[in-house]
Amino acid sequence: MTSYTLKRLTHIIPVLIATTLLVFALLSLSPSDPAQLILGLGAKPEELAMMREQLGLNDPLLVRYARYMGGVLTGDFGTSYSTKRPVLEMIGVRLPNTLVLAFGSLTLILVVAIPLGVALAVRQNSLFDNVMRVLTLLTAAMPSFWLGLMLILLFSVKLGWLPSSGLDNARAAIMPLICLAVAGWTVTSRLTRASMLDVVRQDYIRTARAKGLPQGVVMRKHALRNALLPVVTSVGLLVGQSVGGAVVIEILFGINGIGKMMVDAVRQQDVPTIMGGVLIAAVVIAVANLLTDLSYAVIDPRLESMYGEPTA
Amino acid sequence: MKRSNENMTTAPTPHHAPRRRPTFALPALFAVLLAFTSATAQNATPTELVVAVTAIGNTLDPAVANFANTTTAMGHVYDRIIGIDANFEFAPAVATSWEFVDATTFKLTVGDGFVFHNGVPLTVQDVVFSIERLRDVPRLASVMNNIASTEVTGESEVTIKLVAPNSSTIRALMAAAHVLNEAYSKTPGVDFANKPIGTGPYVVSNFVPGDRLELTAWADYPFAAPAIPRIVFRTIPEDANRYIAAETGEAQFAAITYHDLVRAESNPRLNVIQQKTTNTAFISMNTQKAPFDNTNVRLAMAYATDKEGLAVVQGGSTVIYSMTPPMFSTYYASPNLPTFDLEKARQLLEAEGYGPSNPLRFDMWTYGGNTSVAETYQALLSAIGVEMSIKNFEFGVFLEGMARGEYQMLSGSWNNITGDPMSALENYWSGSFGSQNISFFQNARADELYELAKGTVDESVLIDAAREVQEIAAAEMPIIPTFSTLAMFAFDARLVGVETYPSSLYSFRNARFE
Amino acid sequence: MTRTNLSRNPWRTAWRRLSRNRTAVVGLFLLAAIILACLSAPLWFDYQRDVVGVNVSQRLRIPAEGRPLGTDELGRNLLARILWGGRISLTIGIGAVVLAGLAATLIGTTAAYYGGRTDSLLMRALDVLLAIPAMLLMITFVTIMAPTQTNLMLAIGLSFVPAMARLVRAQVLSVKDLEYVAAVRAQGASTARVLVAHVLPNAMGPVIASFVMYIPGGIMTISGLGFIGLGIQPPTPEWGAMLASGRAYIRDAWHITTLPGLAIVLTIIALTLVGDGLRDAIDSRMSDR
Repeated sequence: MTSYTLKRLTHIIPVLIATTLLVFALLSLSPSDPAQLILGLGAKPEELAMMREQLGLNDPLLVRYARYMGGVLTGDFGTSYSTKRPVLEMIGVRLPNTLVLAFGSLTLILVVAIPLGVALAVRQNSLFDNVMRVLTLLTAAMPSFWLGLMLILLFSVKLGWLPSSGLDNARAAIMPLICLAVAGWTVTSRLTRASMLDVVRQDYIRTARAKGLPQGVVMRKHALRNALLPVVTSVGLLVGQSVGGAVVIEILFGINGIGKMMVDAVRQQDVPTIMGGVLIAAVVIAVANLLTDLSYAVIDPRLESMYGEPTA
Repeated sequence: MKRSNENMTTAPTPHHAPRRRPTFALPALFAVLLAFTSATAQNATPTELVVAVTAIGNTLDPAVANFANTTTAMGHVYDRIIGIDANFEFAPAVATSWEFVDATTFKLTVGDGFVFHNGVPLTVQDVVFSIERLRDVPRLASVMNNIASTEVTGESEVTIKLVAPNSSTIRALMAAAHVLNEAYSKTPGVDFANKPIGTGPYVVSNFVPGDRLELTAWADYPFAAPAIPRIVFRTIPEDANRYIAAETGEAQFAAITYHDLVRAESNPRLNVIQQKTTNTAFISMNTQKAPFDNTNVRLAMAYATDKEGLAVVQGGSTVIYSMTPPMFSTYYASPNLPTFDLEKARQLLEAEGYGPSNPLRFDMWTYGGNTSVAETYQALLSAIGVEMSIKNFEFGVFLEGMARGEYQMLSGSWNNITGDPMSALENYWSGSFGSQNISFFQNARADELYELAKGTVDESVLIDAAREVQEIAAAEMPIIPTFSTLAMFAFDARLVGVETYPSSLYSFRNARFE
Repeated sequence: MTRTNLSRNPWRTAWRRLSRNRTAVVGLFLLAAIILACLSAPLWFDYQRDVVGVNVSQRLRIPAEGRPLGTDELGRNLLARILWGGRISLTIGIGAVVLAGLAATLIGTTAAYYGGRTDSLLMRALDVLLAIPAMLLMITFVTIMAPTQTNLMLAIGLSFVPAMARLVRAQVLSVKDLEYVAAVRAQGASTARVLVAHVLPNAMGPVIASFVMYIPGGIMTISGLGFIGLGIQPPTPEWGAMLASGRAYIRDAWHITTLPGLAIVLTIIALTLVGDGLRDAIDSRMSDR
């Protein structure tokens, strides 16, 4: 298991480096002048030139990137042009909110979609299955922000039950989490259903049934465990989607998270803040992928033996 | 809107669930969540006051922030040197008395008993520091340039010397100055802008830039303790959500828009304030940049401005004909102002060589996401073949670009917080480029009139000068005054004693829940 | 593995299967109706007058006679704006998928056909793009360039390329080792000829069906970007931005937020049904599910 973990870790690091280099390179094409943004109005040309030199803006891209990453490793994500505060501090304040959204919605997806998918597989082609097929078609087609607006209209405006903004308490989290979870429900329940149907048709399940084991035991002990493999693989992807989706949801519900920070930063051409946001998102997603892979290995021991052997 | 799409999202309800199903955590989960939701008690008297505002700046230094909300919030943490009341008259604050000794010498006496949050008593030197430090604020350059010196001239006396007589300098200074602790502000490594220490009744207990600012009543406040133990300023950018927050009791005080005013008025649990303000919305043109370095093009823009239409789109607004608020002595609206006439605008542009083959094209800057006023203007102009594109900026970026004169045209509004009648002239004075004179308008006679008015003690000279400047403005049209919007607030009916000002600032220092 | 019958025209077979699939036909009709309505919008509405022309006295009118879908906060005809918004969304969505499809085909085929170092290099490069959620990639893009229709189409297309290229690669891999292709190669046909004439036509069927499924994603991204104010700029009507601008009036003028959202939902449902149907029709293994 350890060697497998190490192997996965070595896979992640090059991807992280390449991802951040790509974003860093793209952002360096930004038309705004950081020196001007920092010094603000009334800065003299020579002051600007000095600031540019001081910021190292005249160095080659790779040098600047290396310096930035060097800073990141020592906990220095740079300083925001607009708030004049350390980016790491800004992220520190906002990351918990985004993590609540991303992992809260992920939990909600798994807790709802897996049982739902199993139920759909068990009752394949029943009325329930067909109704849910139509429903998921609808929910998959709904943009999360529109669904959110409709929820606000009902639960905040008409009924007055739920707050329409912020993430101050559990009540405030309900609507944002549902909005983020809906797309995942659709995908994951479909996946679970298809995967269950695949597994159920396989020989060992027939054998188990033939042995006279109760249906529930067959489903839980044999079918579900195997059917979950493709679902678990998709979790990493779901986290990525949740982090991306959180941007829109944070704006809709006025939640002070990484996404809102980045959207504000775009309007202010605040490149260090955008870079920090992307970096953190990439790390969160990479870690989620790593955990996914590891849990995959736990569920399916065959993998471990495959990767566990010393590689040539 | 009564479609119940919402049910679809909650996936299987018990009705749909199969009889022989694997255990469902889902209905239970939702039952728990809903139980949470219905348990909202709103009856107990609130112990904290949540204030929903559109935005909170990134710094808590009110001199730098240029944000009415920051100034309002910090008015609970800092004291002013001299206050400005609801009639724009000076009112005692840290200074108990003041006088002009002569045209360039202003003396003030600092009162006793003021203590900073760190326990250090206020000294006259702190007052001097609080003024002198403003020399570093670019926005206040034109004010500070006229201050020769600030000195301690007695045990509790400070004397301010002006470079030249100017009736507006002290007023502008007092509107901007808050009392800071010199030693604390100069301590290396202290971020006094974001961890402020003042002499006011509240201390900052938590500040998340752009999101929230939490104030707690200071236990050792030497004067009458404030009634509300905690005030939380919360950013809710969306207009509709701010009102919903007031309605559902998430917030006890909310800045609202005209659209929600009637609903707030009919809600028995809410009270409403409509405060007339110095708010002045305008369309400014950069007179030093093409195409608006051409007076006729500027005039055409003024003829194309349907102020009534813009005011309706904004809501809760009245049309204005002067950059000077009507409550000022220098208010004057020229009868020669261009009035809405699209055909006239088209002809003027045609005479300058703009037409279907050579359309007038430019960018208009605006800020804050809501572009409806800009879009309305855009549509008006497109009717006469003018192609205006809207650039929507974050407020800070907008302000900086405006001050640097990088724009061609912009749509914005401001509130006069000084109550200074001289502002009527300063809007067109070349000494205030990028600050008050955002059109970078240069006119020899307007400068002459400013010089004439600033030293005078004779009010009629000032008023005549303001009148003449308005005539110049009507003929040259560097900036088009459009409308003035009321400040509107909805708040918990149990909240009393809120003070609102025409500067659009407000204060909870004397507020309480009944 | 798909056993494609090479002697018969696979497209004709697919079409026959598609036309027998009832939900797919419904989707096809719905999609055709939406596209037709959007395309014919200029016949009924004048862009200057109805779509961007502000009419303050008519603002916030709820759906009624003469204005079937009411007016928005600036008195503009909501139906006209929704139809024009559809032109924008569909153009960007379809355009992005076409561009990404071309790029993905090129990359995926190259990777699969040459294999080895080329393959792993290309796939690693795509992994990098895949590691960034589309919305964050979009945010990076709009920081450095104006959110015009073309730029957004390119940016969204780029975000599709990695997943699409993997798909192409997998398909080409499965076709390239078929006996038939090996036979053609053994006869000495050039690589390009083998690819264009034999591998791609057989590999691309299922791939194209899957490509269609990316269009809804593109439309979602565009509207999401518009909703947070970083997408297509006013006065150009865009569904997400239209919806966002109606938020302040959500209580009385519910139609401004509701109807553009419904337009998105309908369009995406139509595209999904068609995409599902196409996939089932082309990939016979899937159709018996």
